[in-house]
Amino acid sequence: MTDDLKTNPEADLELEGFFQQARQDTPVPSADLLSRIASDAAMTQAKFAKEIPQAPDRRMSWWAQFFEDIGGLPALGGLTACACVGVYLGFVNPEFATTWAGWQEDVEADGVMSHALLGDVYWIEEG
Amino acid sequence: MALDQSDQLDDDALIVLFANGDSAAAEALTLRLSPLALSFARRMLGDLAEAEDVVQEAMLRLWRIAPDWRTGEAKPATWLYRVVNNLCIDRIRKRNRVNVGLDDMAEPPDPTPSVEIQMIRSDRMAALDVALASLPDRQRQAVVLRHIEELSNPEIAQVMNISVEAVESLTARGKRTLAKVLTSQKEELSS
Repeated sequence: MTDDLKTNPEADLELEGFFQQARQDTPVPSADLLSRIASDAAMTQAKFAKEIPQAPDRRMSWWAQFFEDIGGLPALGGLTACACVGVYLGFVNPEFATTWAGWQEDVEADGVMSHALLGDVYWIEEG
Repeated sequence: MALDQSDQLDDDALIVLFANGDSAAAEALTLRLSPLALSFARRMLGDLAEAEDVVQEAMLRLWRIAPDWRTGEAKPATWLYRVVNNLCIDRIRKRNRVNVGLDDMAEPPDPTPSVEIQMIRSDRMAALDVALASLPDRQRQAVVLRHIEELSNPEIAQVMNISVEAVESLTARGKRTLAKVLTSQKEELSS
């Protein structure tokens, strides 16, 4: 491979002169070639237009539009589930629905008492 | 898209625009890519009319592939060189088959002027074309792409579907042969 790549610098220089001239001697596409290429491009593009499926012209009623806007069937499922849970809680009136609120009030009352007591304790120690 | 805006867009973007029906993109791509393809095809085939047919076919293939074009992969120019390269090889092979079939017939007079006459006319380019034509196909491809079209070795490797090392070897061997042929032409002229 290395033997393959050996070159003669003098010959390279002379060749480079030929290459340089060749790079400037680039052919310009004729008007006929450009028009043939443009015609092929137009024909190919016309085929693309036929291949692209046209979206059907849909006119939706206001409720169908609303249904689609809120998220369609998955959103409707979520809303139905929430409504069912609400009805269930309303009828059954489970204990946790009332006791949970009562427990929170107790905690808040304890906190208030604790702070008041702590203030008294400090006052007694300082006094 | 207006044609003057196309200068700011790369070839990938123009292909996408073309696929979306923009006719100005086709014009911009044609003006940008067809001279490169024509220059390479002419050096490979040594015949401008035949080179123009090859370029038209190559550009048609580009138009057809546009909707499926994957941006960010091969550069459109490299892809086009590859198509032109393959089309030229097909044509050269066909020519060779026809020439083999005609071997039995009486040889017609060579229409191309001799190397001596070409050199006397100081037509260095004609001499280069003759010297390039004497190279094996793959050496000619590698030398033309490297030294006339100024592609990098990795790009030539993509075009020719070979390794970079093979490109380096083909280019070096091609240049050595070219130098020998051109030197012998010079000696013929000076004697």
